[in-house]
Amino acid sequence: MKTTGKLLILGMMLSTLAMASGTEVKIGVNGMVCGFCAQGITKKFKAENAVESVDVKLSEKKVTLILREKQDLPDDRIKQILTDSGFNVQKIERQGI
Amino acid sequence: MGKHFLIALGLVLISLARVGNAHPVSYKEAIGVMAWNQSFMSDYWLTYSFAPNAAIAARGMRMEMPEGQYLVYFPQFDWLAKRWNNPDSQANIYVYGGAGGARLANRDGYAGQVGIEADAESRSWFIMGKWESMWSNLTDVFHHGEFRVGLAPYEAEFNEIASWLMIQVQYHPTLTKKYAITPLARLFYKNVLWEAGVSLQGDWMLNFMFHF
Repeated sequence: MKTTGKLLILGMMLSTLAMASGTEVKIGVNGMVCGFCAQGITKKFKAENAVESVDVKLSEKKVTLILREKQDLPDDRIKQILTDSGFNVQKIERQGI
Repeated sequence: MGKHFLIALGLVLISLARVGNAHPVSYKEAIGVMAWNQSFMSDYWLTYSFAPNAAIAARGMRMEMPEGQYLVYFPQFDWLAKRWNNPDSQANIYVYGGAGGARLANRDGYAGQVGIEADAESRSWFIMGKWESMWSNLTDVFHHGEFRVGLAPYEAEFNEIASWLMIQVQYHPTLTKKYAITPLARLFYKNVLWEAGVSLQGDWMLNFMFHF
């Protein structure tokens, strides 16, 4: 009984932590060779409510987004933003953090 | 001979544009300010990219001609005709044109201009060529050809200062300086870009660009 109670509390704590963390979205981008030209990417993604932070890595040809908890940014929207910024999406990967 | 040379030069510049970098059009809804300054010529652009492949611009130019100072100012339409986004490089072809007012040695008139620009770049090399022609009721047709190659001494990351060493060759037969070969340095950090150089004939050059 005591053990069951402890497990329940632990489970609640873990689920609370899981809800508090967002999603990491890694986007492979073609044509992103110049920081000056890629400025639009950070500006456009930061304007999205769902986006907490944006990290551009030219050497990895990758844009990493951290989404706010319980929020999502659909793939179609991500592709639209990158197309409007002048680039092409190669792939999109998501994982919880 | 001269005409054939210019046509051949234009074709070579266009054919070099397999990959590229872009100024006349930026990301959608971007506003860009560009100023190119040399002793014999200045070129100012204020652009608004209303689409990923199109922008409107207000442009003003100063050119030093044997007849005197030649000023033109006009609205311009910029079109990104083609872009290649590759994993390690980008290339672009732009076409643009506009028409407006002109002033030469205290005489007012009008002028119209068209241009084509092609560029290609990776994180370590850059190549660009452009050709512009301008017609006016005040003077002969003004032609301007420009070609650039550049190398980056290191591959800068997104939040680092990027530096480039470039050589620019310009040809504009109706100006007081018919050509200029200018080694230059380019620095950019985030959304601000600076270029400075001195031509082999001793003419200074100072360029500035930013977008927001």
